[in-house]
Amino acid sequence: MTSLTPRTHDEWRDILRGNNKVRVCGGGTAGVWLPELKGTVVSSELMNRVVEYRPDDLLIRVESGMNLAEMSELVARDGLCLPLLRDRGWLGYAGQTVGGMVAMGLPHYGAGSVRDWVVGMKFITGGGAVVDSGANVVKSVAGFDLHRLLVGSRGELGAILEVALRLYPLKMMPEVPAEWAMQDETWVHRVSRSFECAGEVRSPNREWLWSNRLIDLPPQGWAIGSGGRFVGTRDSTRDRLRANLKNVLDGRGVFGEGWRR
Amino acid sequence: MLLGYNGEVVDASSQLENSLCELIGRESVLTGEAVRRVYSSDAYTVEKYPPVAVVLPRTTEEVASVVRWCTDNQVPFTPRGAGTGLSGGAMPALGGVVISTKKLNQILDHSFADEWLLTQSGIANLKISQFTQPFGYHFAPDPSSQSVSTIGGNIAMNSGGPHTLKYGVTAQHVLGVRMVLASGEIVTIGGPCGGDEDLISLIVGSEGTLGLVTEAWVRLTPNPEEIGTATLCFSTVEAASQCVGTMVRSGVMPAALEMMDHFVLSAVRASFDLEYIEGTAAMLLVETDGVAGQAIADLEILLQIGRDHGAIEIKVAANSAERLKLWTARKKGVGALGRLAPTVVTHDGVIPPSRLPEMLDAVYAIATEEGLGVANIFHAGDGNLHPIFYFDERAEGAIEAVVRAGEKIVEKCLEFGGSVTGEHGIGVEKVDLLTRMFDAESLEVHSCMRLVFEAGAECNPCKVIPNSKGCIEHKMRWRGVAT
Repeated sequence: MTSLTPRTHDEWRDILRGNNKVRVCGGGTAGVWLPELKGTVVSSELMNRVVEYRPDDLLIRVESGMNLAEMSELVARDGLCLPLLRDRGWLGYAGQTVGGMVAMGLPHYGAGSVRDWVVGMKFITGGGAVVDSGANVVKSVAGFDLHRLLVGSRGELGAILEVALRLYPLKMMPEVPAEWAMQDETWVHRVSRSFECAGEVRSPNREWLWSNRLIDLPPQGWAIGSGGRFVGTRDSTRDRLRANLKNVLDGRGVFGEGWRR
Repeated sequence: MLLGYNGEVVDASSQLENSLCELIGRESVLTGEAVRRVYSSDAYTVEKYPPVAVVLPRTTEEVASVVRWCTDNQVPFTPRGAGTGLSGGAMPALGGVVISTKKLNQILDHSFADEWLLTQSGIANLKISQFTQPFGYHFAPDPSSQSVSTIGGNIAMNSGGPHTLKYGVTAQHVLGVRMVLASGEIVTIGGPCGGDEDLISLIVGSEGTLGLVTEAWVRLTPNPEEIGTATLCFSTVEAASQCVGTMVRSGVMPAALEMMDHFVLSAVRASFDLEYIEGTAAMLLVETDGVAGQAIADLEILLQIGRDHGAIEIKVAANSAERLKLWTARKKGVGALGRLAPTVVTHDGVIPPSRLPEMLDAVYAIATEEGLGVANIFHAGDGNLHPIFYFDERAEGAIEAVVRAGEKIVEKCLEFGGSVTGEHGIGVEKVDLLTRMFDAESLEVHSCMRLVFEAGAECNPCKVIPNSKGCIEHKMRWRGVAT
């Protein structure tokens, strides 16, 4: 299938203006998680630059089409990592992009959620507004945390253009148990396994970082309880707030809507 | 006669007060001149405005009844925890009702096996850790005000603290909330297992502009097996700040990496008997933690970096009592500055840690330009500065000089690629400065988050997002009007 490959904000705006439905695509590795969406495919493949990299400050900002493995190799040269990607990564599936990882916000073991490492973002709304949130430093409370909101949004609230990530010293990463390094399994299988054992999931070395749980699995708004089951209930007020959110960021529905059950 | 919403004169005693008393009982409603004065600001004392009344609800349902009444009657309401906020987030900008969470102070439920605790939002941060400590857990965000500042306030401002360098800020430790929307509806978002992370991301750090959090599920963090704590003294601020840069890129992640300059140290020595070698211009307080053996090994790596940078004295805390003494001095350090001048204003900004030496030079130069005293006590590891101006607010032009100096510091933070605030929030203090960090298109979308939560003009007005017309008109009244 042919796809559009915008590079600039203006090109993005033109695409959003000229199409009723678009489907944002990174490496195309997450298809199984998404419903069959209709519309023009817009690929981030030409948006693959490093915008800013300051190893001394443990920070990198990249365009959303940046290949995750390439970024990992780059920062590893300075003894740094995105701790989600240890052992070639629970999420380090070949071809995966940074934007895709952030938009999916899928679970992983050990080092908090994707959300905890995203410190800034630039995205474009359905109406074509280019929005900045967060900052290029590891700590900022200026404005609302739209960069955290967009994590796990599956491309339905906006298209991610740039992501600023906090990095972590490789040296501080705990050893990953051999049985966790399922190198041959596909990414989808790994995630499926994490569903099954969610009740027992603990990070390899809990005290070294703040999180030890899985988060952010579909459907949004639900969580994994013990035994790996989804817990949560439908709530009309929460649904209404989410509808407001969609309306505010993508009132025309150009980014589609499907995975929220 | 009192000023109320939009500045019109209302007769509080006959109308508003009676209505509130009917809603939640006379014993939970405070009025009168002294009350109005006390609640006219939080710890950011530069801007003040009095509420008409203060309410102290005990349950989520009582909060909901007050909020619903305020919205229905177009009376502005402002949530308030302990009032330790440093950017005016709890200042009742347009008067109206202050809803204090101080009586919402009960721990409701917990599970150590699943590492969560459910509490009402008015409980002091430290009370959670005191409750869980014997069972091997603590609540990781530890703002210096933690002995009094409330979990609700921490959520509103997305508070940090020294140990957030390693463990993350409040946002990383909130699993769910029960909150009252501006309509008075009660909604549960997230829960003991998390969930609803999208909405939680907006609520944490929203400064009470989206509604009022009354209960929260917080994540408990296991206590580390081993902790290493040390102080390193340097004869110049520059040497200390260069040492910070080297430590940050050393590959060791400290649990905390704090700096105090000699102005702070002199006050802290007098207040808390903290000893350090003569000739100290700046002290680093470093802590490592982790599994047994690792924390001490990591600390030694950092201490060697200190020696390489010419530390003139290094002391390692020998036991938990010594560690506690060091942390008491650090966390109460701002209070100790009361010895230097009658008024202190703490600023907050973030820069990349590698720019620390240049930034501190700039801070001292700005203070000199404005004729103010400045002391620095801050989270060096994540580049989160807290220049503290000390002065006499009765002196002519002093407040204006402090505000100008603050703006210059923020400009400098932005020039170095940082942020206008790291953990104290926007409040009213930095509302106008937000436009220097985000363009109009971005801010327009940020401001829409109020629409998402259907929060009208009554819900903590004039905070976070650059001012609406009503706030701009009101702004001139905030300085010095509360007396």
